[in-house]
Amino acid sequence: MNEFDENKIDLEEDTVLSGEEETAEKVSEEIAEETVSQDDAVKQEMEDLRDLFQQELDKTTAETYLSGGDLQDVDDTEEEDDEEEIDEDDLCLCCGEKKRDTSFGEDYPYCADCRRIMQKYPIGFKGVFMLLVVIAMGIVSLFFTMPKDPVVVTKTIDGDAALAEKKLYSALYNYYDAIQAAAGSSKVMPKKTVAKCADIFAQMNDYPDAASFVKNYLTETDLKNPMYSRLNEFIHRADTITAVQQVLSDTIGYSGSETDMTEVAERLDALKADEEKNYDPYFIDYYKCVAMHNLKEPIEDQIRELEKLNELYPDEWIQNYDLCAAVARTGNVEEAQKAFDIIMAHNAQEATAYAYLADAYRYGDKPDPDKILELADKGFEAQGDYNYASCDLYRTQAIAYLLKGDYDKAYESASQMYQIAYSYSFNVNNVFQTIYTYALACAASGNDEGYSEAEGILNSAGYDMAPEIKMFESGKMTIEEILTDKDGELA
Amino acid sequence: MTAIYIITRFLTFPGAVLRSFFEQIICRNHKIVVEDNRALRRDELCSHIEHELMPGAGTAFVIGFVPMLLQLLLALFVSFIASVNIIYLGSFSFPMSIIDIVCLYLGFSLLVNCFPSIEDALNMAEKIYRRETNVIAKIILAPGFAVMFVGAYLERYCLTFLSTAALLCFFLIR
Repeated sequence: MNEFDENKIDLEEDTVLSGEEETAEKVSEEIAEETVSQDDAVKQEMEDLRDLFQQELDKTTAETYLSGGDLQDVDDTEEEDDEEEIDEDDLCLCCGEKKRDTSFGEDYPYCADCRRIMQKYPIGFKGVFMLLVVIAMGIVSLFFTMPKDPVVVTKTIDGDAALAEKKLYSALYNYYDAIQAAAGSSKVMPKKTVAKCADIFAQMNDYPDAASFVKNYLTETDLKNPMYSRLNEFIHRADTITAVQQVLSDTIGYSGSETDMTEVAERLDALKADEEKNYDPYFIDYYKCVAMHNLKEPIEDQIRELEKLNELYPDEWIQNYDLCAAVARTGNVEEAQKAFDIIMAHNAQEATAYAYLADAYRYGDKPDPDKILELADKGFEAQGDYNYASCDLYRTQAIAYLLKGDYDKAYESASQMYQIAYSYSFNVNNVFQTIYTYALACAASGNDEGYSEAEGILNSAGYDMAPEIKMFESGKMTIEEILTDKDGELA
Repeated sequence: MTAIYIITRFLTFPGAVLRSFFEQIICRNHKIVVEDNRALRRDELCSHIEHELMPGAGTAFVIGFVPMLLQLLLALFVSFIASVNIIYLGSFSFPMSIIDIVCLYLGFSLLVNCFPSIEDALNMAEKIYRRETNVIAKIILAPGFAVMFVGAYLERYCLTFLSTAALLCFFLIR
């Protein structure tokens, strides 16, 4: 076979092949045409379905909308269908949708999301607002209502502390300072402090001062207030004292022992009968005892009446002051001590009572100057910074030194006493006894100048030197005889 | 009794609101779930918030103690000057004393509402005095716990209201 033949065979083969290919192409074209037509049909069908669903959805949506329902419900239905698998008991108590978070316990009621939200529960406005209001009011009170002068508070506190220790004088002065500070700064009166001050005056039997204090610093409206209405009693008692003192002034006056005690008692009893004024009977009875003392009635009678007062008025204590002084003059240390203890229980600063108790050791069977000196020292200690009792205590000290025979020290103490009395223009307790004691100390220590001065003061007031002291100078009486004479001028 | 309790809480609403406010702050701080934060509700939890129980002894103590301490300090702060003026000194002047009276009322309401709820107090007792709690902690927390435990019952039976009012009157007329 030559080359030409080979080419011919190839050509024939190619011709046969090309005929087969053409047939295959035709078949595939037919198949493709069929497939396209099928896809179009499916596509068309899907589109038809889509349109149908869309029409149904639109229709349902429109119906739901028109019926007033929640459009969300339409969507939720699908979700609920998805969650139908969770048991109702396992649903979160808060949202009711999700499963409870049982990692905090089998019965834990909330899901994790709700738990997170509830841990950051929003803080309400009311709490913040109220906190701001409270803080604001605190600041406002600090700036607007705080006492202008802190002394008002500090002195009242000091007064309370002193009162707790029964130191009436310290308490009184502190309260008084507080009231003065308030009057000077804010003009807003600390009424409770005023009431406390009046109470102390009353405790010390100084009802006239208590009443004037109440009238000066409290209004009538205040006195109607149940908190302060008891202070009206002080005014009433002060009225009684004024009436009683008027009777004593009318009957006894300055004439002293020349007046008859029966007349004084009758006049005082007449006050009790005055129903309109309704005077306080305690003060009428008490001032009867004062009148007996002034009229120098027998000491036993005075003691009896004072003890009767203790029985009749157990709540009153001021008569024990007079009782202590009266019993001491009999030298009865035990009874004087009883009265003294009652006084101290009410006012631990009542230093004058030490001077009266000391008299019990002076008028006893045997004078005890050391004990007298000891009591005088205790008296000075008790009165503290206040020298209201210094005159009496220096006199007690001078008497003790005179009894001991230490005349220089006696003069020293008497001189102190005299200076205090002089500074008060001799407006002190037992003024005659004070001047006589000074004169005796001067005479004993050989201080003629002092003696002359004392005598001059007495003479200028129309009085003479005590006869006992003149007798001492002439050597007819000893110092011990003078100082232990219960009825003497120096008693 | 619940009705009286609710009335006293409403009468002292500033303290009730602040008490629940402080409780919520503590809960938030300790990530405790708060279920209801209404202060003035008409049930036994009035003036307290509804929250999950504290898990530990320390937190159980804190939710009772810190609000109580804050209430006491605030009461002291707001009513100190007013107490000095009206109760101690008896100073009263119109119209400035109105501020004092308002401050006294605020202090009173804070004091009346300073104790925890009985639920919190019982939870505190359970958590502090369980076996796992340290003995030293039990001893240290004992005084505060005793005060709060007794106070919770006093408050529930309106006795804090009555006792505070009685004390106020006593010092006022003294």
